[in-house]
Amino acid sequence: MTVVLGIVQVCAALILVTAGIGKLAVPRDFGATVRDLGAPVRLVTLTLPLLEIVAGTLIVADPTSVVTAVLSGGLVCAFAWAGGTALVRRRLMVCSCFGGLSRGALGWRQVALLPAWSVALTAMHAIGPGIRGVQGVLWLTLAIVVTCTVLAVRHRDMALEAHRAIEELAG
Amino acid sequence: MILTVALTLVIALMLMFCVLALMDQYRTLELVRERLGIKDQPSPVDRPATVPSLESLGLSHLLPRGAAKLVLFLTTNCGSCHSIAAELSKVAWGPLVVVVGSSNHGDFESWCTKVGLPPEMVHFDEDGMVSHAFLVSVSPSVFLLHDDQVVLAQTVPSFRHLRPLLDGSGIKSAISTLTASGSGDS
Repeated sequence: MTVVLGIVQVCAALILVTAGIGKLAVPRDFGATVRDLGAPVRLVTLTLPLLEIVAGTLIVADPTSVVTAVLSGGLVCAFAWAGGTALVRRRLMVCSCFGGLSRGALGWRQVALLPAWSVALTAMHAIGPGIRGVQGVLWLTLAIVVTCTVLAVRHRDMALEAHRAIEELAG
Repeated sequence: MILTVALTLVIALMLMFCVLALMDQYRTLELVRERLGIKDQPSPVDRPATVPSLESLGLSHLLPRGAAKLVLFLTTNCGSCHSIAAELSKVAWGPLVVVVGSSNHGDFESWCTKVGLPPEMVHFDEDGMVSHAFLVSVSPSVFLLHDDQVVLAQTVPSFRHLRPLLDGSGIKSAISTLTASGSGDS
């Protein structure tokens, strides 16, 4: 059970960190989403990704603390609010949940995160965390490096093609 | 210890930032090329009604096994052909036969050296006999033959477009498309 919880923690942390870094690396699309939702663009595009990175790190470093619960719970509530807003307004809004990585629509998926996250958080408090402290941060670091490698390998063709295109354009 | 771990995490986060930003740069470049109308896509070329057997065209020593054969036409004076040939030198060819057009044998040999292809593994189409038989009007272009019938004839703007044919997935799809249209006609 501890192993399962550890894996859940690393996955949740990786999702949050990737979402945060993705939004910081490619803020363009996320800014448009925030504008569509009617939230302050400059404030949200800077603070939300940073909060996601901090929450992701805390999930593996200090999973049972109140700060972690409040921060990650608040983020999931914010995502659910964004999804709910898109559903209520019946407008197609691009999620930009992972910056340039995703082009999915805001909607039910973000709303469904709320109960799923509540269950995970309750389980972590009831059973105890799978990993924590230095061990947790190391596992998260490893997961980030693996994700970067997978992304780089999957987009290798795109990189080669871009290189060739630049050479062609340069004559 | 804690400081080292924290530093490692920060470096990993910076790495992820760079990878994601770089991927967006590639996407932007694709977008620019699409807007400028220079996004490369394979386009069909004229396919001959009948093709003489590859053995009679002097390609018998290069012929792969199997019913499906790919014939790729390159020339020594085109940039795309150069980059495709350079990529070909690093991968398994599968059912591919490479035909290279050049004005003289010296140019052909120096081109092979530059791109890293052994001259004995490609056919030097000195008199243009093979190109003529396939009605080749543009290079690079590729022809897929299945049971001596031309199933696919298209340009190859870059190696990316040749890859599905080399790994077999593009061949299966082309043959199944032909079979489906054939049965539809009948």
